[in-house]
Amino acid sequence: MPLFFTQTLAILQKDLKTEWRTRERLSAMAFFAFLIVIIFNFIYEPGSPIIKTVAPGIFWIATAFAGLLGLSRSFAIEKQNDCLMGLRLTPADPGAIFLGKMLGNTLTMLILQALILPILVIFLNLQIAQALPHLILPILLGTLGLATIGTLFSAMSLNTRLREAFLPLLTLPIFIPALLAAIESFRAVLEGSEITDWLVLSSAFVALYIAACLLLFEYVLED
Amino acid sequence: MQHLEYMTAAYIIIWVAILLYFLSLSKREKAIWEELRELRATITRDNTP
Amino acid sequence: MHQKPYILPFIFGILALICLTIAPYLVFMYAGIEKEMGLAQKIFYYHVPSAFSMFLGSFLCFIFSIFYLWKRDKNCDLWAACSAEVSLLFGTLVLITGAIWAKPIWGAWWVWDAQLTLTLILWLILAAYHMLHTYLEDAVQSARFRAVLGIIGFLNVPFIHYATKLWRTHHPEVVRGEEISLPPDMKIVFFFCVITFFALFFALLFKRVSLAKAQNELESLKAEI
Repeated sequence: MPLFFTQTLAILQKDLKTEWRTRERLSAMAFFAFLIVIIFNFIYEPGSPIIKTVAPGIFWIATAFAGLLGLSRSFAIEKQNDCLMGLRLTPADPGAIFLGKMLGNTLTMLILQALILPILVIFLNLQIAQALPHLILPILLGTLGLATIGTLFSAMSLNTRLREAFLPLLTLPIFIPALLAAIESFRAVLEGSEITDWLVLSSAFVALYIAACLLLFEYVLED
Repeated sequence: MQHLEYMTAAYIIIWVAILLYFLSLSKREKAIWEELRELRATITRDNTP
Repeated sequence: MHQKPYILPFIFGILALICLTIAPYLVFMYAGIEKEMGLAQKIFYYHVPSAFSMFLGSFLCFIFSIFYLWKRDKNCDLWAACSAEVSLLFGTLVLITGAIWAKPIWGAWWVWDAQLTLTLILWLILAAYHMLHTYLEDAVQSARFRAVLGIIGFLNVPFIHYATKLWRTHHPEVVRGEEISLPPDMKIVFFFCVITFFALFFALLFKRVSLAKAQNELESLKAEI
């Protein structure tokens, strides 16, 4: 296996291991997502048919906001005990560090979404059993997009005066097109209509931004 | 004259915004040059006893 | 050392001034009044060129950001930051005049038209860039971060364009006011206004850059002492 991927896997493994030991980050994210879903219910009349059309939006808002909460910790934990310096000193390629971190964040968010979907089904009375296989690809692409730019900006926002609080301000404007694609394709799947255009958009988004971040990450890590 | 008020509003906003931006740039630059000149004057005064 | 005579800002300033005196004459006297939209149509002559200037500014920011990361020339960072700021100004104008145009024509201050949405999202990215500029501490690091955001942000433009287009065609109820083929007199005036706004853009950009250079000089002098 090429060295780059060995390094990526090592970083990924390290992140998942530290996360799994406490599960602090994941439980905070899950609770926050749960809160968002509950709070969104108060906007509409209970049982109103409009819930069906806004459910994809609620799902993605919950993912994005709770995901950002987790993403902001992604590099903040490395700041303790100067772990980031240690990472930088390893012979690992900056791109590999980025990719490992990004995949770790993606996995965390996918687990989070696996928790949000049942909550949506229960509280919004959403029927997704048949649509589920078609939902996997758009959700995966949207999550990859969020994790890619979120991971890059997570490393950047740490060095601002606002620390992690700055992350959403950077991530959300850039994420809008992918978010739009994710919400619209979710809705289209529920309605049974075509989603190819949206999939093309989100895969191009993911491909371009992963490539750009692999190239640019070394400038973010540099001291 | 249809929609005269909208057109006037749009044009006035554009003119005023650009003018204000330009004036604020000039003002800030002027202040900086002023400060630079004073600083240089103090430096040369200190260096020549 | 004396205040340097900045020749380029002067030239562009004069050019912008000349164009700005001719443009209103062309807009109000030469170009005809559109039958359906009336005088509100004249907002278009300043609204669209402002949008062009905004895109020019963000494109310049993108190019200078790449050059900064490549050459590590402090000037490139300075130019990138300045063009983003001027671009933000023009973006604000586009949004405001867009709202003023939308009210009489479409009956609402804001319409989720594809082009307007694209402008709004780009404006948000430019605003985030501006905030990053103010919230960073270390000078060298902040220049690098700015450059990264400048590149990432501009790469987003095609995605926003495609996404808003797809989004709007999925919601056909919104009125679309694009693709009006202009009569020749309006076309000439429109092109003249584009030139005017580009001259204005560069005049403001050069002015902004000279301010930034003066600021840098002051800071380095203070650091010496």
